[in-house]
Amino acid sequence: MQLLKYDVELRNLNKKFGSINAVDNLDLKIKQGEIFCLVGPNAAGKTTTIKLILGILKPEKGDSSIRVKGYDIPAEKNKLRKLMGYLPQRKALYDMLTARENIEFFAKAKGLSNSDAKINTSSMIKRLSLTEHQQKLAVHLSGGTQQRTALASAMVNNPQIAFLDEPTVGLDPVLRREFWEYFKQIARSQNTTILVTTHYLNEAEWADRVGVMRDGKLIAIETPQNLMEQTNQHNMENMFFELIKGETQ
Amino acid sequence: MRLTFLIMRRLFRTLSRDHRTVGLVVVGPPLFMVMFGIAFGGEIEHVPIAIINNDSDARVVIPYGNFTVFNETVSSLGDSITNTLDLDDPRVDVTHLTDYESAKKDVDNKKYACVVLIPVNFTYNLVSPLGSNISLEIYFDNSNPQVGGVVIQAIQESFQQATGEFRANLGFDVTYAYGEGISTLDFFTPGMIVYGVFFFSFMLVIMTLIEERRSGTLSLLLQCPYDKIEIILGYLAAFSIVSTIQTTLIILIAGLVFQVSLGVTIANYISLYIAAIIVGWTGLVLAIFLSAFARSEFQAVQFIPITIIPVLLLSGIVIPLSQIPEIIRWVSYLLPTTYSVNLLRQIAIEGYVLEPLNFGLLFQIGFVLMLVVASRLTLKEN
Repeated sequence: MQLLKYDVELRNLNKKFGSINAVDNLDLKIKQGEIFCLVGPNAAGKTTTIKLILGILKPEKGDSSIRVKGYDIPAEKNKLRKLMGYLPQRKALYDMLTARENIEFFAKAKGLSNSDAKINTSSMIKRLSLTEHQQKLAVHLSGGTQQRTALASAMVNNPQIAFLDEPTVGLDPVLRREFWEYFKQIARSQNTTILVTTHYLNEAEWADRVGVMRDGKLIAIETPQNLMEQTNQHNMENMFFELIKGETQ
Repeated sequence: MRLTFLIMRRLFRTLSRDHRTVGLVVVGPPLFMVMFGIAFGGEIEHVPIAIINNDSDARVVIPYGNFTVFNETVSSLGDSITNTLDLDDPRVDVTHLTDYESAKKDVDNKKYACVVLIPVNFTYNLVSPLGSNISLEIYFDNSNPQVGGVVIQAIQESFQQATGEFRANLGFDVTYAYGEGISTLDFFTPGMIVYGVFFFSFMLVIMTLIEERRSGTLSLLLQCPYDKIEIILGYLAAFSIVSTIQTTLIILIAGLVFQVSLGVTIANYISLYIAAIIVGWTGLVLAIFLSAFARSEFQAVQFIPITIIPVLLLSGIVIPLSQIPEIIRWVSYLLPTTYSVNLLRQIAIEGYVLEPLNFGLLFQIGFVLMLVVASRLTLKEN
């Protein structure tokens, strides 16, 4: 079996909504086991990029290609779905199911056997500190706990690759840090590749590499440290404004 | 007052930007009135009946002692009755037959609403003082009392008109193919099962699916490694159980509170449940299909005028199909619920046991399959 160097390979990706270029000539490669963070302001094209990678949206016709885990997307998207975890921007939970029932439902919907679904659900509940909330209806959970439940539902199948769209939006700084520690932990222990988007610029420091997006374009790809060094800034937020200033000039 | 004015202005502004709502506000009331007007404004017409006319002209001789006071040929009253019904009465369409037993079978098979047997020497027996009492045989399908009442009225009026004063010897011998002693409630309950199950399946599913879309869970489900068809089948399976529960509740209340009988044998009841589950499916697949075109519960409710109202008015639940003007009756024949109502009435009133090749059943299953395929196409991942 051929060993894949890159889990995600995007070439010449374009997507338009009307006259707006939501994604503009995007090229990107993400290595196996890497935490890659797409960072940028709202409407930069981060969510559209994830939706293109998952085959939810179709790219513009032309010389573009999307390969994820060696599969050609969108043609082979069903094969990818068995291996992946996906957390959409909205907290997608069934209000009238408990936290545990939600996680277990998605475990089974992702193809796990009944016994594996139970084992993995219990493990995710423990791992994301949901034990005391597991029997509460999702509608009665706080925003942060709902987000943890949604993350547990996305990752319950121990995916080889995860696409997490703004997983930390609306969370307090403590919980945001916990989420990133979890991402690091599974990337190191399970070699899970993670593509995560955020508009909290400073959060991107936690990633292995960062892609900075603006107006559908990827304006920089580097490690956070290198990006900050190249722009002579001490945090990611300042780095971003420095980059934009450079672009505008 | 300032807030009242602000709210009024805000409501107009938001409503005017929702084009579908503007359409509903403008088109809805006229559409309602036209549908009600057409549906209730019609008369029951062109009900097929059969007549077997064995009567002929009668030579009537009335002697008085050694004299003859009346000696004339009287034209056949049977012909007169038949002509009145055939040519002058729009309520019935007459077919002339000769074999009574085979005509009765046609009534059993719903080809005719009734068969009237005008016997040999009908005119002679009525007109001649020497004539004997005569009984007119009618074999009658009263499974739809609204239609049955109109047919019997048309027949009686034509006999009154033709026989005039010569009615002393005439009696009617009515045998019921179906629906003897049927009450209004007996007749309407199967239609109410169809309406209740269809309405609740449709509304529950469209609301549930819009909530799934709005919350994002549907989008997540569509990212799972299964075909979309499994999502649709999951809904079908769950709401089949809901339809069964609803049917049971309606049967129990109709039977225990209002003494309506909806079946005699176990096979009748099983048929009733199968038919009711399929009604639920038709409402459900229509809801799944239409849910793709609604972004909110508010927009879902806007589908009621084009789904629930036509089902109530044009499926034969309240108004018989023969009363619906022909110009829109084709809509009735496209509605799966028309066949559901017919099927449930056959089961409940006539004791019919469902057969796999029943046309109404096949039509509904065809409708369900067609919309399952269409829904699979409209269930978009984004």
